[in-house]
Amino acid sequence: MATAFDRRRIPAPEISIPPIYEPLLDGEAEAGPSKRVDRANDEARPIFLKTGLISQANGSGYIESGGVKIACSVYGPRPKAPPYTPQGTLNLEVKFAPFASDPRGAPLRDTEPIHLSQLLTQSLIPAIQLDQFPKSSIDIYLLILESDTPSNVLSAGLTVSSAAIADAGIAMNGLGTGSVVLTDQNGEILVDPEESEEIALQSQAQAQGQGQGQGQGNGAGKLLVGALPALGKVTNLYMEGEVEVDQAIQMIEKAIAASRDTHTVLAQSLLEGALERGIGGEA
Amino acid sequence: MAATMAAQSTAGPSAPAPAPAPANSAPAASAEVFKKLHPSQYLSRFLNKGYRPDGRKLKAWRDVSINVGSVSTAHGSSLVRMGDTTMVCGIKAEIAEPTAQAPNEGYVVPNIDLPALCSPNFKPGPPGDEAQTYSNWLNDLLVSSSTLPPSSLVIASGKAVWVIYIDVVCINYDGNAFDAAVLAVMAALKNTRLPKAKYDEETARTICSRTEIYPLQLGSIPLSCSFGIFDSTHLLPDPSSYESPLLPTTISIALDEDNNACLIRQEGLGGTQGKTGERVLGEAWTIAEGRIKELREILEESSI
Repeated sequence: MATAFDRRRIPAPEISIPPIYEPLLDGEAEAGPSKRVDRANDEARPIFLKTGLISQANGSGYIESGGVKIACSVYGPRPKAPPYTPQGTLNLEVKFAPFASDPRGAPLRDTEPIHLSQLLTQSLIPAIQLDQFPKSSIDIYLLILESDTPSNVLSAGLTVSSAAIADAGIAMNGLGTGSVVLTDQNGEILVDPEESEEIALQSQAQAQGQGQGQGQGNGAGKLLVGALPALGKVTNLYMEGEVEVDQAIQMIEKAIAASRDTHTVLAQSLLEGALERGIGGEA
Repeated sequence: MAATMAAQSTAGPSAPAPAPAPANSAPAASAEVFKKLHPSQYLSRFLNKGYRPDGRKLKAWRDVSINVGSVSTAHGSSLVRMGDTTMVCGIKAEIAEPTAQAPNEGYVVPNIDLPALCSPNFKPGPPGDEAQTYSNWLNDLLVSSSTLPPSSLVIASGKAVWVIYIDVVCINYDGNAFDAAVLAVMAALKNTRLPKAKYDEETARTICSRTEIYPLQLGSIPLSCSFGIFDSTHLLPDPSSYESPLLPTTISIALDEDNNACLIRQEGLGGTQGKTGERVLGEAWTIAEGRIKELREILEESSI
């Protein structure tokens, strides 16, 4: 696939590598895993969320959350080609802008978006009242403009697509929000982890794997939760790593608490979006 | 902002709203229906009153804003808004071996993407016809005006050169994508900083500095202006997505700093009633000179 000549794009050299930087000097080397200083462990980074920026779409949203920037637009419900379906069909496509990831994600070579699209669709289906839209399709497109880790993309993607669907005036059961929590090597639970914190976790897990260190030290892991906070429901759980059951339950609770905060931001931005269009007040 | 624009275009507060359809109890709704069923007449009634459907004057351009450096995963980036049309350009540099035929030339790879996200008319999947056309125009423009000379991208002759990937993505498609894309590319190129790179003969690897960065050596900076001709009567600058399908003739003019032409394209029958194609093209050129001067000022301001 990668070797096939792509006539639809301006040709690029077959092989190019991202710049390799000189090694860090000893003095400025990373001092290993360090504690969070700028915010509390259960504090998420601020979110910027705005609806209705894409005038061509029925509904749209734009989110900036940590190192992630995503634009999302919703088209529909629009008529769907046969065969007849008694329920609406949800089509969701995640696309990375080539410059959104480090290293550059060349078109066609990337398979990451497919995985993300599937997970997002699963998390969103319970949120939308698809039985209200027979013979129709709802098309949701997400464009990632900047990304750090896939889990952050997923959680922000879920939040922004809920905002866009609501902005399109499509009936929903509740607003879906995503949140990520991580248990670090000290057993502390970090909400909304940064890229560096996740990398620290991974390198630690590798080190443990090599030194047959099963069971020693505290387990570490990462958990992504998709939730409908207003209904108190969970739509998606995705966990990686190795943690005790009690710890995992604690992580889920922390993640749900965090998703309630996100829900507040989401509801607020929808309200603002509606007011800007002059449809606030009543309803 | 988008919402207010939308409200303007439907209600048209600044434009004298033509009473299009026959008497109806809900004039706003009937105007909307008329707009969908008879787009050409709808447009022509606005133009005859000296206005465009989105509320601007007949010969007016839409407001432009440029934001640079907001994408931290790119070496340079820009966001351009031209009315509602929004383009993001990100530039990523990678290192490759030059070809044997041109050991002293780097690569410049510009691509424009119009994803399904930006308009209901585009489908998901590989770039469509329009996106491919614009990518080719952009490539021609960059090559012919040597905006980014490939010879300036050499790290070690025959061994390592920079590959500059210029990716433009449309987020909101409200017509005139090419002008917005060109502006976004130029703003992003000016914003780009590359790390200082050294080729190591022994390990055959290129190592980049973490501290030393430098801007690209840019040649001339062309900017583009596009027009459409409606009904062989009106020369309309900066057509919107509603107007574009109704304009059988389109003209694009790109000029460099000294107002030399870098790209001129006319597609369709030229000229308007009583004027030859040559004269209309000349008129467009004069308008473009003024507009490009304005764009250049906005571009300069954005890069400070």
